[in-house]
Amino acid sequence: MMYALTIVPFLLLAPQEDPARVDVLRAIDPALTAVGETAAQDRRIRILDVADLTGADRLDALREAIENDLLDEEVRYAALGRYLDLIETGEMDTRVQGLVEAIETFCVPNTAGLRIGVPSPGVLIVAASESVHTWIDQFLAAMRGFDGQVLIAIEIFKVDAGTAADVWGGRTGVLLDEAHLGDLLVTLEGAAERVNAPAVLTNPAQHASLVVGEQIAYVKDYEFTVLPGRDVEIADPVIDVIQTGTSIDVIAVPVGDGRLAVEIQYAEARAETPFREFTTTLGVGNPVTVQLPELRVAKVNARFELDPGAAIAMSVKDPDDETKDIIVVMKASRIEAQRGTDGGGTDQRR
Amino acid sequence: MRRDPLDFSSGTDLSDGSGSVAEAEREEFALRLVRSLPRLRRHAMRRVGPGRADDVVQETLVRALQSSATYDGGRSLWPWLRSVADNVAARQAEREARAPEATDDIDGAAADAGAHVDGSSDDFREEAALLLDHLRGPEREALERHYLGGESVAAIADATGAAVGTVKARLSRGRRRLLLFFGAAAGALAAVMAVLPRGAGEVQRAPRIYHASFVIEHLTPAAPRFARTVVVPKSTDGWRIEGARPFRSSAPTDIETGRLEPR
Repeated sequence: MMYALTIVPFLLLAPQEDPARVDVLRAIDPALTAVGETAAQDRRIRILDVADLTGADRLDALREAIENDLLDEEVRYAALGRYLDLIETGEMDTRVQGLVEAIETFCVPNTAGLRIGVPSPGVLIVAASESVHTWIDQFLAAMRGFDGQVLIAIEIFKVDAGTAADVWGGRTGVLLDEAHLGDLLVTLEGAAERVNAPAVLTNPAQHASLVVGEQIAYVKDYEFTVLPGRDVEIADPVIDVIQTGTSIDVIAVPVGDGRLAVEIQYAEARAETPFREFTTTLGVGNPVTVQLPELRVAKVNARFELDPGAAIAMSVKDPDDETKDIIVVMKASRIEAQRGTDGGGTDQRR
Repeated sequence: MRRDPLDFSSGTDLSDGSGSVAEAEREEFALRLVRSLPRLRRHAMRRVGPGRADDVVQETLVRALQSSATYDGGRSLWPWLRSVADNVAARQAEREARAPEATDDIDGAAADAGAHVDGSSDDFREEAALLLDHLRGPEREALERHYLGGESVAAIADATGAAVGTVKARLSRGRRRLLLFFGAAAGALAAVMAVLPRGAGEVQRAPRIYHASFVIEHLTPAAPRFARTVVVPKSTDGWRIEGARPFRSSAPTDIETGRLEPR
């Protein structure tokens, strides 16, 4: 890491087309082997210090304090333990990868040709067009200005058919601001059945996953062993499992002006019980019975950018009940870290 | 030097050089145009939101002045001006739609954020906006400023000297009162959203939906294969497996219809 950090001033001062610079970059990260082509495609290479976002600066400070014996005796061992923890758990690696993923996922300008190298958890080397660099600068500034977490809430309602079409004019989805979201929820509160309402609290630019479910075993198949010359076949059941319940995978990042960009992958699976069964003798032997479970899966896959308090709502017809529609409402809120003197805890604000 | 489109003092003919509009008519046209400005701005607010309304107003005025020769002075100015504004807004929306990586996959979402509203919807909004007259003064003012004028709650609070919470309460009460006027809750909400979202109702700045899908599907596992393994004696000590082959590969429909038979 030190190697990468020490060459930063040189790289910043070096002319863009300097072959030596390209070689250095390649030495830092083989993923940047294409940097030689970037100049020809109007892309610019920049070295970005993100140590404050990934915690690498704190790691450096901790190491310096330990190395220079700057710590009181009573905290020296604790600091060393924390230092080793940070190294071993790869916490900063996770954070820097989260930044890279966020840039690659949410960058608005055309990211064709975008290359990001990570020589250390505190440094990004970015080869990109000027517009992408501008976006990245804004994104990193938003990340630095964001103190808190992101609460992503999903609510699923079952309503009478046509309600959704009435509410948002026959479209399959609508964007709502805070006031209209409140109105919608008030309307749904009385007239709809709330099917599910999971929520996930996550740090910005870090994936959060939640799985709440059940694995149900069933007899999927039979394998027969035939013994020539004998009148019997040995039937061995093949057991499989189906996964029911709810799973959410989200990543959210601030993108400036209080906006949040969110990617949500949500699935809710429910098994129709009891399982259907099928019995056969296959013409020989004793009858065997296999089960034919059927899963009803609701999937939401969305990536969007919303103002504070805004929400996105979508609806589909209930395939099992033509008199019903299913509505999903997704909202991302900033949960700001509380600035009280007592410390700890969070306070939800927008 | 760029000329201020609202500066009519120089007497320059702005009617595309055709000179078909006489001086007096041109002045009258300009005056009517200026008188229409508040309405034009409200219309632009509803169409494209406050962030781009001024652009639309400005471009509409320029185009109106340039195309004044096509305006029949005997007819009402507003429908003509509105169609000019709608064209401007539509072109602006098209330009934004062509912007890379700003795709809105939810049908209609882009239209909400941008400028597409068909004429019937517009007429409906104007008719429904009359319902605001049924509201009490403060509530009506809050709703008009917030939704039609595009002002934020904080700005309204500053302007009216009321607390932010009071403004929010007025907005809420006003919306609820409109719901009552409209009748059924779902229909009312639709109407309110159709009438009022352009100012601050729906997301103001271009919402960016990269993609969004919501599906409900039924999944069934692969059909059983009933594989059969034949073993033959290898020696007196044991058995040798010769190979396995599926007895039959059947689709679930075969099972459902009872047509599954051994091969």
